[in-house]
Amino acid sequence: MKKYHKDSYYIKKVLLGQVQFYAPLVEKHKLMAYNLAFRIVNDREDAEEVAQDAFIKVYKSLPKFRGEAKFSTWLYKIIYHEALGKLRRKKINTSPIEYNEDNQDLVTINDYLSRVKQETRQQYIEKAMQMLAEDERLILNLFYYSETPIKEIVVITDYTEANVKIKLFRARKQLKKYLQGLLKEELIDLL
Amino acid sequence: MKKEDKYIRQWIKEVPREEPSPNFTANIMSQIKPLSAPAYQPLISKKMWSIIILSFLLLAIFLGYQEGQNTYFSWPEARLPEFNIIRFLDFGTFTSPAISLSIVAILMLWTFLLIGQAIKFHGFFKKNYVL
Repeated sequence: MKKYHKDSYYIKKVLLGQVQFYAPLVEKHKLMAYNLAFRIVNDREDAEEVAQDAFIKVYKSLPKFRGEAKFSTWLYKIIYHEALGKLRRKKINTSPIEYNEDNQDLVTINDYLSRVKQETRQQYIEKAMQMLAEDERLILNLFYYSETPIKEIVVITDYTEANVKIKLFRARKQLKKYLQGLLKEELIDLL
Repeated sequence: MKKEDKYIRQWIKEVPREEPSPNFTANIMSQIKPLSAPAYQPLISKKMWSIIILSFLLLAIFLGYQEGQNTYFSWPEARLPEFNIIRFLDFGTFTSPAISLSIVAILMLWTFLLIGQAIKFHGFFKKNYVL
């Protein structure tokens, strides 16, 4: 895995006029940035466009960057708003399939998941994630995958801390519900 | 909640990450230009200037206090041994000129400042230029 300097090192160089130092900064953050965009817009081309636009916007605003928040937090905030804007322009509404909540606990769901092949398991988890609302999907990804603290999620989404916690709680509940529903279908197919 | 967190983290981390296109970075770099003007960075920062001025002020106060004290600094006297054979080449003893304490203090301060600046220049060139 390639080693990178701190973000402030590259930002300083770029501000001194050495544009080429923006490339390693992009390389350092592109995977997370792209995945964040993809989790919201659910389309490869759109995600690429959103992430690239966000990096360009960030570059142009670099002179204003004071370093109070992390560079990544700032970048993710722009991606989040760009991605939502993209969805609104495309007028995409996510209407998830309704499943009846069946109160099976997580251990049982995990048990079912562990019985299917890894590829199938990944597909179910991904499908369940796609059924969530965009902001719930984003918050789950930020909190569990990037391990972003709640305070940073507040900065990225402009929600209050209480709001973020409520959405996180809802997202977990919904994810569980969708996984149950999808796994039930799988079991019915098997029978 | 901790068990729930554990399972959800495990499931989400299982989903493979999507890779952007190979020319992702190149596309971005082709669209950006150098920012309007490079940010000006003085070689001697404001903090360093404050230290220099404060040092001179302290020195001035110190010298003012020393004024009239009649203190001089001089190296110990060095006496050459007498050579009987070359008696006519009598160079006598070497005596060092008396140098006032003020001059010594200024020279010492000047030396420290030069060393400090040399270290700063070295760091600056090392950071910004590849040799």
